[in-house]
Amino acid sequence: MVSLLRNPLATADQLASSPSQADGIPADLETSLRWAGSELIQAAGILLRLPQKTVATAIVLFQRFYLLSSMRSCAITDSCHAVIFLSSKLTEHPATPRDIINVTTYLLNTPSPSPISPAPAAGQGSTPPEEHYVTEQEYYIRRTRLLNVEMEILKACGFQTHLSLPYTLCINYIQSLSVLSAEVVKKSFGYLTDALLSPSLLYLTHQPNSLAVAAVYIGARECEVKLPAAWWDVFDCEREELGFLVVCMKGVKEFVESERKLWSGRKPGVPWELDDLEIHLERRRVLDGEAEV
Amino acid sequence: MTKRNSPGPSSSEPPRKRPLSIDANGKPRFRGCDSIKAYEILEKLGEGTFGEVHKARHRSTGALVALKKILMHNAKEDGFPITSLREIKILKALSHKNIIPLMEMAVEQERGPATRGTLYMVFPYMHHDLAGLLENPDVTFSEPQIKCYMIQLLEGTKYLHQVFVLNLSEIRRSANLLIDNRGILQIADFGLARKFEEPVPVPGGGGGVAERDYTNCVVTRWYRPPELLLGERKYTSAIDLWGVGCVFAEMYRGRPILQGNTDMDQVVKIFQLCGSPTQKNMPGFDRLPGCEGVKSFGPFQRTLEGHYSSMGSAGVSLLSQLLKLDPQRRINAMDALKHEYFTTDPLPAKPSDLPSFEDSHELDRKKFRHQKAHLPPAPAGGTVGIGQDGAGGWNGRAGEVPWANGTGAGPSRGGRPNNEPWVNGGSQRYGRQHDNRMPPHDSRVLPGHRPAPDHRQWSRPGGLDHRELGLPPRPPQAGHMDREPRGPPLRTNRGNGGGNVDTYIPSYGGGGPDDRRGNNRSRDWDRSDRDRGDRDRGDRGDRGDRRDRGHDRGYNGGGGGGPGGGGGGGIQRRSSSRDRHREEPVNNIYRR
Repeated sequence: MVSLLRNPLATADQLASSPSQADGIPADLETSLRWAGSELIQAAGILLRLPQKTVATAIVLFQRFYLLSSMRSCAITDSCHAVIFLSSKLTEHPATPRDIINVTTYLLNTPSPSPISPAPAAGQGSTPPEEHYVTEQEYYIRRTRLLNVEMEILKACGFQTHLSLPYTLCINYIQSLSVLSAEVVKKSFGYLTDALLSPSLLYLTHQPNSLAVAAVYIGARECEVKLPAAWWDVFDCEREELGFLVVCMKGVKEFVESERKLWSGRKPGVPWELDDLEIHLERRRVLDGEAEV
Repeated sequence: MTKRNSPGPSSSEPPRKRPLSIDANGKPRFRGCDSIKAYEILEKLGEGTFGEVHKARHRSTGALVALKKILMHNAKEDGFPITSLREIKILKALSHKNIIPLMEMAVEQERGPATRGTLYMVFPYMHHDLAGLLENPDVTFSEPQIKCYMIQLLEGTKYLHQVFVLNLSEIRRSANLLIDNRGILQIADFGLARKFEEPVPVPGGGGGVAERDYTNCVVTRWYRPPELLLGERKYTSAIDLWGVGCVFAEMYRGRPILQGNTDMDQVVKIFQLCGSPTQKNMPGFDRLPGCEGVKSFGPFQRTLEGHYSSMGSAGVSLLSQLLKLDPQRRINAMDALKHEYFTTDPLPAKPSDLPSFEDSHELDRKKFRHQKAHLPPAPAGGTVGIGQDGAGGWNGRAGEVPWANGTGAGPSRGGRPNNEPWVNGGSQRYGRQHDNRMPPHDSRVLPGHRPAPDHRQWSRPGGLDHRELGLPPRPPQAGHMDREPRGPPLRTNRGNGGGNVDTYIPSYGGGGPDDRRGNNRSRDWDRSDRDRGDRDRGDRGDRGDRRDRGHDRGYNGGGGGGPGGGGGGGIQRRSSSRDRHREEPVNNIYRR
């Protein structure tokens, strides 16, 4: 077996040439859309009661997909649906297209403090269910798109769906360092989950063992647990790589906060659909043109 | 969405949307996923419930490959089939000389990028499968050869178990063991494979103890171990070793050794061979749900040692350890490799020392049987679509055209009563085809070919080999087909009800008495369908989707009785004639 613990990673070429940017999407918007999609997947995964491995797999598939294809060819919602569906099959916790579509529609249409939902209107209690009701017709349209995008994703990845997540490795490392405690594990897991949202696409650029080492490093440090010198060498992680990962993982919080600030309450909100995206791009072009003038 | 020109961000002109499949340099973006156009499809090799297989040549490298189509039975609900996802994922992760490599995926784009298209898995082309080879009358396995194959089979199994793959075992069918002319054996078909979550087998530890429930509706029946038949859900990698044992004995016998018609029949056959289950030889068997509710069997005397004494003491010893009723005491792959069988004379051959044979595939053999069973008079009509184009030669070997169209599914499977006229339109076509191609030199088979009892037609001048008795009728001198000039695959007939390519599709719809074979066959198909369907259902757990079964049955065409409808006369009949007629499950890697 080729190693089960190695993941296919993005090449430098792929990272340097984003299909979305080549397709006319500004870099900052691409980053925002990646973030928004990941937030949606994570939130939907929780409502669908999917285990974190399914959610994490979905997010990584999502990141991989948009490394290989343009955001103007597949709407964010559709690809979110598709990756959740696909990863639920890959991780043997199947979710139905209907559940997935219901949940994302609910999330995207019901006001909540979440940055991906509309802002709660002042003085209004619960929202009427019509807001997030998926009609049968809409369901069929969305399901068809879901299934189409699922196939696009598989093709884009060359059907390479293997993904090894760092969570178990993380526990393993903590145990081998004899510092197992719920607190360290919790912190480390938190950082691993954070890393899913990183704009540096850490799961596409680093092997799971390095991610686990970095998470253990931060976790132990924040819990003030002392670890032996240069322990990361044992787990095949270079000091430089570790340093980079630590910086990135710590930076996720700031990144997410700035994105949240950017998008929450903003109208129009995140361009989830292709039409929204085109309108958004058009608007930006107009604004850019005005700025130039 | 409107198409626009001039790429590049933040230009005043809206940029053009780039086709998804091409990157910024105009090169294909997707690796590992080629267009079907990269392959020149040579012929259809087979077709079945789960897909069809074409032999093809890569246009630029010239490599011969087998393209296995992925059928999307329930694409509306389930999207890309979870079984195919597993199969691809597992195959991509495996790398062993005795496991068939998945070269890549090929996509046939039908209409525009928005449609899902048709997908093919690309495998290297292998010359034989074990079932086909065993039926090839020109091939007699020597003991060193059997040992050589066994070692490779066990090495592959050991590797799989070491990396936590449970081949829920269609793999263990002899038709899914592919052999090439370099003597290399490869395990194929991971459609039902799953990763298992138990500790890896350790030397001397048998299959270990299972901790997780799996569905027990797996494994082609004839290769299904007793614990599965009795309803065990906590099975282990030991189930694969039972299949290995079945294949082991099959190599000596020349045919599957335990050919049960029903689950119950299968259980009885197993216990007739291994003796009734007792607390001693199969602890806890009475706590299992039982086979169709039946829990006590026998008493049967153990006959294994007597039946297979020709295998020699070491061979019998290995066989009895592989066919242990108690899965926990069944030998595991790594222990089996250390068995004295492999170190006693005659020693195993090296793969490179094995002779090459003409291409032998299960489907091919069925085709032979099919044709011989009702060789019709020479057709009055022409040879539509089967021109004499001389395409058969490949390095002077008869080898180019191993699997012919769907003959595997033909009504001539094995033990059909010979004096019955064929009722199937597809068979007519085969007969004609055969006659057209019949080479003048093959005088032994040709003259006066009329539908007649198998054994007469098929007796070969060369006399009987060790597995002649009890075997199905022989094909005409093996190889004559392959020396025949080949025409293109009979694609022209594909759309019209499919009688020629896959006779389990409605050809037998009438259900008359002559349909028995078809019915039985379809039952088998159905069986495997059901296995898969159940498997899927089990995986989905709470989804309770009953559609699978109906759906699968739909694919079975009109001929099949339902899973429950198979108790009719056909079975009785088949049982009685079993000794003379080979039957086998119709699963084949290339059929899906």
